[in-house]
Amino acid sequence: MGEIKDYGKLYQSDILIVGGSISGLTLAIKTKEMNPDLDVLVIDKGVIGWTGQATKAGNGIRATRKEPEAIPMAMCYQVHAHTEFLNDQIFLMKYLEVQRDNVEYMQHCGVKTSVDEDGNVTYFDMVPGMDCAGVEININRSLRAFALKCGVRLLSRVNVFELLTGKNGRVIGSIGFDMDSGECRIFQAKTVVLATQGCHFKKIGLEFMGYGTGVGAAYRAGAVMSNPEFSTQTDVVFKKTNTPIYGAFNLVYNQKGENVTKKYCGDQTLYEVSTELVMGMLEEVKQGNGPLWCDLEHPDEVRAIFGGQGHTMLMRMLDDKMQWEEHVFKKTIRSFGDVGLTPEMTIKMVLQVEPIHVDMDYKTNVEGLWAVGKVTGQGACYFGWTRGDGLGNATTTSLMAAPSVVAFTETHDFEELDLTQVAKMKEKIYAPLNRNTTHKPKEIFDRIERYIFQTDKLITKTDESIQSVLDEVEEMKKIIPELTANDPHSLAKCLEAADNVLCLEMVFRAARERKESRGQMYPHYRMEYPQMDNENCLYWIHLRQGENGEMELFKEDIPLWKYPIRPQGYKIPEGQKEEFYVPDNPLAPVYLEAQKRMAEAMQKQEAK
Amino acid sequence: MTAIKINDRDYCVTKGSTILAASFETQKLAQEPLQVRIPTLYYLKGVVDIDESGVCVVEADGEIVNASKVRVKEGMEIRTMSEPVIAARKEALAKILKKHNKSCIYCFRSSSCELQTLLHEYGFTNEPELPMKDLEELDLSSKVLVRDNNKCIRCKRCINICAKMQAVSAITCTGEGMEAEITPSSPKGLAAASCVNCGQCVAVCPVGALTEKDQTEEVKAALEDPEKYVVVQVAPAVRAALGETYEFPIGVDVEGRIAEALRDAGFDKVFDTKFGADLTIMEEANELIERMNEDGVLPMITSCCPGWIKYAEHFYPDMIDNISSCKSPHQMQGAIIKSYIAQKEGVAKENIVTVSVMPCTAKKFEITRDDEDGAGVPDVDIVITTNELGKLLKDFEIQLEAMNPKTQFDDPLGFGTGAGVIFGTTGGVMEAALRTAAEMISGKAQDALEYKEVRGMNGIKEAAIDIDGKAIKVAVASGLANANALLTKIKSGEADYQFVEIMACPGGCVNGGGQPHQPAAVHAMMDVPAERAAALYRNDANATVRKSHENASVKKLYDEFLEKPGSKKAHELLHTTYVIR
Repeated sequence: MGEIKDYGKLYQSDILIVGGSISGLTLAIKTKEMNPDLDVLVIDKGVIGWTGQATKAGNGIRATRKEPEAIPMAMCYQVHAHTEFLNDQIFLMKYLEVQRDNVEYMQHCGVKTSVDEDGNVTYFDMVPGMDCAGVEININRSLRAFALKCGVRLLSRVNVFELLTGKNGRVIGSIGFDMDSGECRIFQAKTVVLATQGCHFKKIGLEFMGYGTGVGAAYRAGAVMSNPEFSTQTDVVFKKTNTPIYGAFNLVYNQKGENVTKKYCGDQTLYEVSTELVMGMLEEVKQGNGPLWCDLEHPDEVRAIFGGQGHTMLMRMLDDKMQWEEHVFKKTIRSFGDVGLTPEMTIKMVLQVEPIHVDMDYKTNVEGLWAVGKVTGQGACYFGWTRGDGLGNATTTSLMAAPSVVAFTETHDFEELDLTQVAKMKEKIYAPLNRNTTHKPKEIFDRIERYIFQTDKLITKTDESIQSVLDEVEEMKKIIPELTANDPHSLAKCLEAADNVLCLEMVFRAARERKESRGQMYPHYRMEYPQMDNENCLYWIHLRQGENGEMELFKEDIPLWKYPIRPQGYKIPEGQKEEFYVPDNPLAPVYLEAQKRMAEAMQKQEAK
Repeated sequence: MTAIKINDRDYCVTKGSTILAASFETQKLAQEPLQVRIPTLYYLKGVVDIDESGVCVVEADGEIVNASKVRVKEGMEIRTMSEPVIAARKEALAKILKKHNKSCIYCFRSSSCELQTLLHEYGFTNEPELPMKDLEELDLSSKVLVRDNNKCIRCKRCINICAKMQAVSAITCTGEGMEAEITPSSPKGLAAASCVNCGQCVAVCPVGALTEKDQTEEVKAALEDPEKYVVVQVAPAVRAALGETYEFPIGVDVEGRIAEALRDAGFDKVFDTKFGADLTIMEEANELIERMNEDGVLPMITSCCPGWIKYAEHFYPDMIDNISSCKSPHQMQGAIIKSYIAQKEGVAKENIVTVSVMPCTAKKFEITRDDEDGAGVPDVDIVITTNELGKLLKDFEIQLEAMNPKTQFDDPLGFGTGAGVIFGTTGGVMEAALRTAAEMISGKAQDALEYKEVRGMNGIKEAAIDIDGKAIKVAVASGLANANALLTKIKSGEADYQFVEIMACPGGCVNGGGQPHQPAAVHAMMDVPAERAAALYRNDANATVRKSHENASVKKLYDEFLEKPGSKKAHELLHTTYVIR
């Protein structure tokens, strides 16, 4: 059987971090600062410092406000904001606490943020309890520089697809290949952290791309996935250019000249595309009032609210970021020329599958394996991430993970790699290079686009549409063992296609199980069950690879009896007892007061 | 302070400063939108003050003016990016391009070229190359430097640094503007122009008109040759700067990363010149004490710097006896590799190829000198600069970022002390020598370790060091013009020292001619050599052993092989002679 080096070049490090964007780099820096003796290696399939979602994402970075009431305020908002009542509220409290230091820590790492003349961070009020600071566009380059200064190792252009495990299932390494040479690369570590980003299927211009390979690798290593049914994001785009203008969804008109947004969603300005709007738009088309169009007679109105120059004052964005925004905006503006002032509008979707289940230390259920950043978006059960704070989520999760990552690494030793396993994994990874079939990975991506990216399958789901997707998934799974590649790039695509299909299966398996409708921004909507059901559906859906290799689902009741914020008329289930509103809990009155104030504020707003 | 407006924003800047200096002041502001940048091409802090390239222009009170020349006035309204300003800059660049050979893909300076950066910024995308018939021949007369007049943009940085900082004047100029003729002071080329090979002209050149002679192909050939046993050693200052070629922040010590990278590149032994530096201290401290005790020629002057040696041979032939007979650290180490290591490893010395990675261009000349072949074969076969090492590693697709900072060099010549590592900065050799000499003279352990009097970036530093009640007067000079001033004082009897350190490059080896190029904008904002020096002092402070005579590998070398400092064998291998030029 030989030695490891017969299979590929071996890299050894105390901590292996897969993914070199903001989250991976922040974790690398933090762990190195906590214990400079640890050998920390970050790997990425791109060039670290210049790739990763953070190079494109976000206008700013959020932080919980410093005042003590900020956390209850933010809690009240966030528990209701997205997937109502499904948060792990204890998790969310800790998250908000750590998020206080977010921006200062980035500054410490040499990232430029919006500052006043003395160099102090300047914030603006974002959502209740939260501040936001502008950040530079080259955030990853600054983090790269700081990481190198700390002595972190950065290896670019390596793509890994499988995790290596030890005797008791502990993750002890990873395997993949060099994206340029195609040579096999094997990693051995005491601790492995996935900062890989989730799986993004995109149908909208300017959106990000993730391939789900981190999700797939963790799943096969035994990691539990959670809540993938809350993965769909919707936007209203120009049909011709496939680009959205944030805010343009307030200006959707039908052929009769009626404002569809106002017709179905009321007079209030929308900040996100809602399911009501999507259903309204579908209804209008069904009634023969289509095609729908956008009123660009008033684009400046949109800009003033949501984008373009208005942002300078509002967001205090840094100059370089502003230039980028302008560039993007100009690109869209240029499209106006093509589409005229009454462009046709349509609905497009993005699927963001970020389900790796983690505990409050961002440790997965698999020994030796952590996951940070957006790949845990749904898996963390906190649902505290809000659109516009991908950067803050990345840094906060890494700061939360660092102490346990360091402690585990300090107390564990390397475990010997299993050569049989390495050989098997390598064979599996390289298999598409050795096939004589003709299927190309593009077939899979095309099928996903054609058959799955439809509103009835991704937004207004029915039993039938869910089943049709799962049938399609089964069909695609038959093609995957026949995908062929002829270079490192197409090899990566074959492996990504497989994990794409896996992620899709997770989404629709979970969606079938959740027989209710809930959530905004990343909503789960079932036509047969259009209401939120707090009596029967206060659970989390978990998935894992069963013993037979098949995906298995299990549910976990949400322990709302331990949480401060609960649905109206919530009854503690039998066998449990009140654990939050008890006499010796100092937080109990705080949260009662906060909820009262929140309710009052809501009433006031509605009265307006 | 003077109140001005730049791009419609209010600023308060130092009274009497140029507009360019004012823009540097704004760049230190915390708030990024308030920071103003003005491009430069000729300007370089301390070398060329007035930038006549035509790109360093702004609109001041409605007029296009040279920002490096015109000073701010109360209420002045400045525009740095108006249409006329951009047009003027583009015109200036177009004019320079008419005389610049755009062979960027072969150019050693590609990607660290100040002109190339501006061309990208100002949208030059499709410029024709100069016709072959118009191209001048390269000046290849020097063993060290290559001068390509077809790339020269007439900034005169090389002329100024050579004359003012180095007091050599190997390059001169006639004529004005882009019509100026920049030539070596001898018609036979640079080599005949009493050039000391310090490479400061290379370090300051904004483009690829002056470069070190690229010897990376020779290194690759040696590595590919199965007959050859290829040994590499790395000078102290390299670790403080190599990272810059991989876009590390300035002043990050990459010592361990270099060791792993070189091992990956396929070198048979990866040694650290810190060892050679410690060995030098043993020999040099011994020589100093001998001279002091036996009424030898004093002051004794250090001999680590081949730029200084050649300068002395040209301009101070009467002081050659003052120079220590010690070889420079990498030559000593080379001699030990070809004798002691050859013996230990059982390799024929003729089959060993020693490669030195140096921050220095003059070392390329040094290995060709007479009496640098202690073991009967050349001590060192190839010298490459920090820049060339960056290129070599990239050719091998080695990612320095991925290397482990804790990697060790190979035993026994891979271990050096904190005293060895500070050789890379001005005052470092002096400090290292004092740490050892103090204990040799007094015969007992000394508390003094950090001689802060000889640290810092000042061109000339003096100190009187008390050792057991006996004062030793020392002086340190870096930059040959400073050395010139110091030596004049010594010759006139105005000053009286026992020990003098001289380094040709201002700031010492950290600012050597072979170190990575940083553009003028960076030099205007930070003291690059000082940042690199700080990295070496940190390395020293963190070292487990900080005195050369406590280096166990050095002690073992004397025990097993050399007997004692200054022994006959040590003299054969580790000492050299000088000539009058």
